[in-house]
Amino acid sequence: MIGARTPIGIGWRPELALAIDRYEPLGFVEILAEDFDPDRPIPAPIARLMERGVVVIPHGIGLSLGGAERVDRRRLDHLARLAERFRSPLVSEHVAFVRAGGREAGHLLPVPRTRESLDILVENIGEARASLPVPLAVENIAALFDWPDAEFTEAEFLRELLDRTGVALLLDLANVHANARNRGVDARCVLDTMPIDRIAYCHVAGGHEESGLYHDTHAHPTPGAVLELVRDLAGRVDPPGVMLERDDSYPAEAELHRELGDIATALRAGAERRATSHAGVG
Amino acid sequence: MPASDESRRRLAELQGRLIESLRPGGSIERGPAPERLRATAEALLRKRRRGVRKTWPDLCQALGADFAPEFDRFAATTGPPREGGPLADGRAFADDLRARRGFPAAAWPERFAHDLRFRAIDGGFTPRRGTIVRVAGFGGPPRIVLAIRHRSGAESWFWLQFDRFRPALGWRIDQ
Repeated sequence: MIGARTPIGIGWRPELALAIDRYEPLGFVEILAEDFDPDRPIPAPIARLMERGVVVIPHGIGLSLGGAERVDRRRLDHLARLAERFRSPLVSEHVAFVRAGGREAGHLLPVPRTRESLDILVENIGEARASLPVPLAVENIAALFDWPDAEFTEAEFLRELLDRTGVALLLDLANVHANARNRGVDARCVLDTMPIDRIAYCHVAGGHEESGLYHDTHAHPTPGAVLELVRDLAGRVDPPGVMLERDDSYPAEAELHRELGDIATALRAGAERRATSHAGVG
Repeated sequence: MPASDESRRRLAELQGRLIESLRPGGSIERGPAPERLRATAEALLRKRRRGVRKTWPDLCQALGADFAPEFDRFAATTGPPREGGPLADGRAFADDLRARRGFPAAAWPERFAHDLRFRAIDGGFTPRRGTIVRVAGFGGPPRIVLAIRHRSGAESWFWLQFDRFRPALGWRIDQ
């Protein structure tokens, strides 16, 4: 779906522009949709990346697909125009809500995993898909809490959502890790149940533990446990892309490149395991 | 099954109560585990503070140790803006500060620059378009500033500064 020349990507941030430009085996970048104006010229660093074949994916955080309100047409139009401007093969958003009752949350909040919420989410995604010129992928978020009275596990909810809407999954492995830690379950077992046959691309990121809870900060190096999930995933399927999210405490270029290299290494290790596993069958 | 208006109304109420409970000082009601909601509320507040620190560095530096308590006081009554992200959040905080206790002199140029680049809309701020001209006077040391934001987004700033009654002319022109 991405069509990138390599499966390694990164969230583009102005602070990391030079380091990103200098990472030769880069396949794709993700841009934060709310930070870009489709009526303005493409920023020079991103235009350079596009000239060398790097794919650009607009990633929204403001659609609130999991909210009770109908999708905001203006925000949807903004995302659609960015996709056209940057010649993107897809756009992505979240299985989350960010506003309710006229108030902004300031962050992505989880949707109650009930059949009623799912119907609303499916409807909102359907409206979004109808207005977008490219396919949509939706991301699983990290949350410190769960709504009570859930009728689905997170994986079941995602599976049913993807089946009913036809959208793809932006599988955030850091969020799988974070949620598993905070729920006291094994992330690898959670990955077993996720709809990994529907992946558009993946996120990885770092976080840290505070007062017994793991926070998905995007401000720390990717932990080994998340890279293990990359390896596990690649041992089962061939992910079209895996990208690093870093939003704060930006590392030096060498450290950033090393972290991107670690993702590539994990993907290769997984692919070897997959090849060995297939060779052993039949 | 299509979602009904009634189901949307129920969800809206549920989600609205949750957002209300996550603001500083908001009450945690029965629902998700209270300690987890508290942790989420604290994380949201830290995120807002970080965003304003990044987008309004001069203001934060001018406030020093007062920044966190002042921002938390503001955040207890004012939620994040609908438009404009941390930059708009910081501007709303700056306006609130000005109304309540006065605005630090060292941060006035930063606020002036924001005025040059953004205009207020319902729910936040949006980038200005076209050519914008602004003139302002600042204290500490006394200055008169003329700033022009061109259609391209480039800016030209000219100032006359009075340092011990000796005027000095300065300028900065974006290429």
